[in-house]
Amino acid sequence: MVEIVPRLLRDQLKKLAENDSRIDGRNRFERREINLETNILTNAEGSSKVSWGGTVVYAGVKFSLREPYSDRPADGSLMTSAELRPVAHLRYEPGPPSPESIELGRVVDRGIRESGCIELSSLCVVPGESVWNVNLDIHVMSDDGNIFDACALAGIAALRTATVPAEKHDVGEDHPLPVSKTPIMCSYKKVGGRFVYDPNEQEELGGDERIHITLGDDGHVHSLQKGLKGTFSTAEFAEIFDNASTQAAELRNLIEEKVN
Amino acid sequence: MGGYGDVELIKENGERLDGRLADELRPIKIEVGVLPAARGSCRMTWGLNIAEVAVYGPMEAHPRKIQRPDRAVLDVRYNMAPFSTSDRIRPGFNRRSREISKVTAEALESIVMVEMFPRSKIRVEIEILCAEAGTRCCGITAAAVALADAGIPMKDLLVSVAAGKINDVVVLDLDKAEDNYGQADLPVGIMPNTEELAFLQMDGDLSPEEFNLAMEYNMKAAKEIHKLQVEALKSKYTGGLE
Amino acid sequence: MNEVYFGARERLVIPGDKIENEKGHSAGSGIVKIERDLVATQVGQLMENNGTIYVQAFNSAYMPRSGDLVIGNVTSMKSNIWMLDIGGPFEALLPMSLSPWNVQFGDLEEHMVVGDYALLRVQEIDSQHGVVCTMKGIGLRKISTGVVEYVGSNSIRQFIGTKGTNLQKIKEFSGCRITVADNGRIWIEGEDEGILQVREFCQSLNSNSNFNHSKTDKLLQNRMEEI
Repeated sequence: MVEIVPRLLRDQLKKLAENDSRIDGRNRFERREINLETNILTNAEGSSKVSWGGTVVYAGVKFSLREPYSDRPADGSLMTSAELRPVAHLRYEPGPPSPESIELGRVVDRGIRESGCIELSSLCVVPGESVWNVNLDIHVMSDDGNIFDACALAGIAALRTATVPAEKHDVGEDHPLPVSKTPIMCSYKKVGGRFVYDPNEQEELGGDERIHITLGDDGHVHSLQKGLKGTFSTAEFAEIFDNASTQAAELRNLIEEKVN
Repeated sequence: MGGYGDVELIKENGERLDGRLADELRPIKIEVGVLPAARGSCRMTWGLNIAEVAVYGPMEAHPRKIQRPDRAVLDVRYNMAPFSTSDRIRPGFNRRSREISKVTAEALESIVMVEMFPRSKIRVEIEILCAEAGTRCCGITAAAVALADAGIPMKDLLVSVAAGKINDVVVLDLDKAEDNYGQADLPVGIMPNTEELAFLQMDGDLSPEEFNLAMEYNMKAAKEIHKLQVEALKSKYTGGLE
Repeated sequence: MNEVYFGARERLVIPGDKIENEKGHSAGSGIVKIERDLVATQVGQLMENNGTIYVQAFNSAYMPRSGDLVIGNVTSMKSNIWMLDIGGPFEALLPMSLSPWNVQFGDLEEHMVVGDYALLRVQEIDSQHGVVCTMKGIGLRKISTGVVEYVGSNSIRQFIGTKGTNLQKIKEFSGCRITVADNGRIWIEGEDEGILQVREFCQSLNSNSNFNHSKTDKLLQNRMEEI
């Protein structure tokens, strides 16, 4: 279903931006309330649930053993996918994954993969014979805006709490999945002519382009994605890039509190 | 049903492996209004099962060829999340999910007053987040609550529950081991007020006497679960403010 | 409000609940007659009015009735009609002959385009559940200022309050002009701050599913004090 953007909404967002306020009264870089729960799904080896405003996302980690690829005999693998199923919103239709769904999965995947949070060599069981494949699946249940950040947060939280099920596969003792870094995604949306952090549903509907920034613990950037129609200046980017490091630090603390 | 009647599932004192008696349910919890984007929603935990259901509509049915001139169509999807089982499920087409979606839709169409909304569509999205055994019962029971939460007019609620047979004994609400090694499984959908059946499946081996006992257990359990459905729906409107 | 409360029988009902009917009342909305029994079909409060028993549903889809004032959003247009989403199960039509303008065939976009909101009245509903709207009438117009917010067709009653008291309070408090439509949408005009206050009240109405008016009044009072 194609959603119609009400012209009145765009006008209102523009007017609000001129007065430096937002449709729900937040500041430009103010986040909505987040609730993070971990290890809540019995059948997943690691899991999390993120409620972020009215957005609800689950993530689950599953392990399987496989033969390594011949050119990398001692490396395991990490596969991240996110699904935008029709449960999440009126506008999502059943059928094969939409381009939006695939983009979501790939952007979240790049942030986690490129941060190097999981050393692929640590997933080796017997070199040349068997390695772990880690499947991180992210399930969007309710979309009230900013599903990208919610998915990325749920994803890394699930990995941080995952246990490698070695006993079940008869290859040693169960142990925590080694995760050395905590990449955090921060998303900004052009609303009424300027970027805001953590857009809600109405801002997503009535806004323009969005930018996703994934930062590692050391402040290095690991993935960027510009989505939807619109253009921005380098000065605009510099401002949100600067803000992202503050947001990322806060979210990283939230994870540390929950995981440890 | 594998028919492995020789796996010990009932202890000498008559208790089942998890300590339940023959006619006892696993712990159940029902909550409504859990998915803010949906018009109506329900989360049900039943043993280790977790199902969340979202309801959207009624809305104009697209594509036009699915429209019915005299009633609404229920577009029901039952889906298991990839991480919901002990071995990961690959997303995508799945014959089992299709069948369960179909029988669930037909069960719900029997209670929803679909004739009030000709040409329209009501979407029911059942997501299984954690699966033990009995996910279809969990999904149908939660879907009925989510439909009521969405204000969709219906003649009655619907409770789905299963009884079965393990070690030649009829028991209520099979858990995973009992489902894997049991001899029969009889899931039904019961309208709690009229006691009519809107859903029925069975596989395995039951004598007529065993079938009657299994139905008796199901009927009794349906009343218990109905109480939880009613409490969940009412508490949304009586709690809160204070 | 001409609703007669039941006293002891006034209660919250769930689909499937049987309603005792020794007086032979007729079945109104949210009630179905199955053989001789009246049965509730929606979650809501059981009410009686002039011999009819009905359920005041807490959350249900908007069902258009002729004469309703609605706020629609243009979703598509042909040479001679606009199609509008009015939040019901079907889209509504506005033929160019029922618009307030002198429209030439094929020139609809000169007056109203996809994405525009309009205040309309439901003219008629045909047997195929097609909804025809009109924009000829006092106050009916294209909406080009302010904001449109969704409250829900059931929460509208609480929003207005007994004899319109809540609506009056909200208007005075926020300094906004507010138009309430039967399809659960409201049109708010005013300063940003006032609009935000009205919007916040709408949202707290939506998240606190209230059982009765006194609770709503209290909610309104609390919100005003908070702000």
